[in-house]
Amino acid sequence: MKIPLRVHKQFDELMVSATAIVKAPHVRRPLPLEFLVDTGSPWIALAPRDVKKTNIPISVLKKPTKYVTILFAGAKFWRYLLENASVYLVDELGKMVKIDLPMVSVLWPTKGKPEEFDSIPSVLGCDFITIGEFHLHFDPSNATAFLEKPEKQ
Amino acid sequence: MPEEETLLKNLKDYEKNAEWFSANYLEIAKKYEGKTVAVKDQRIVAIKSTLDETLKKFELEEEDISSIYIATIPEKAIAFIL
Repeated sequence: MKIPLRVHKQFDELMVSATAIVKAPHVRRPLPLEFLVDTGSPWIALAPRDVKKTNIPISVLKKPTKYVTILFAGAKFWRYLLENASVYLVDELGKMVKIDLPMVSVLWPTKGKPEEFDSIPSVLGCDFITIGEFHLHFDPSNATAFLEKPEKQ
Repeated sequence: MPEEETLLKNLKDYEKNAEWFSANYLEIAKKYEGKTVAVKDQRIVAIKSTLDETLKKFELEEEDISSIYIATIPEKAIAFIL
């Protein structure tokens, strides 16, 4: 099973993105979001812009016991936990794929106005790739990328 | 429509809008640097100064934003190394 990823350019920078919906308690508006595929991130994390779009009430979310604050895109963020989440994507045949995760990280700036961070994307990190048992393929020369889950014997 | 079918339709419609945005990124970014742009049915339907203003607009109009691609264009001088 393959999940196509979108290879695109933001000005001159090449990026690989996935479209996914996150459903979990406290996600009031589960809608499609754009995630930058980021193997430098240990977690799948929702950036402030997508916290606003999905109308997640930050105040009710738990804080983790480890890595309460993180540095991301040159700024410092509080990290909250969206527990018992499901992530939905579309495979190459147009069928829906659902990956259950114990948690999704939610980021909120420790200072500054949240709108200052509206250009920063959410990220699809290593926990998602690991738990989903995906292989990540990226061929920048041909502008192709996909997540692949080998069929179990 | 069952919930899963709705999610699937939203994902596919959103992806078409995202692809259209990517294909036209340079032109859009040149015109609307620093603005928030909303794309529905492969055309721009809103240009606002902030994401909050954009979300407020759709809320006031009771517009379903499930398949609308909304992006804030960064200033050209800013690059993100995540």
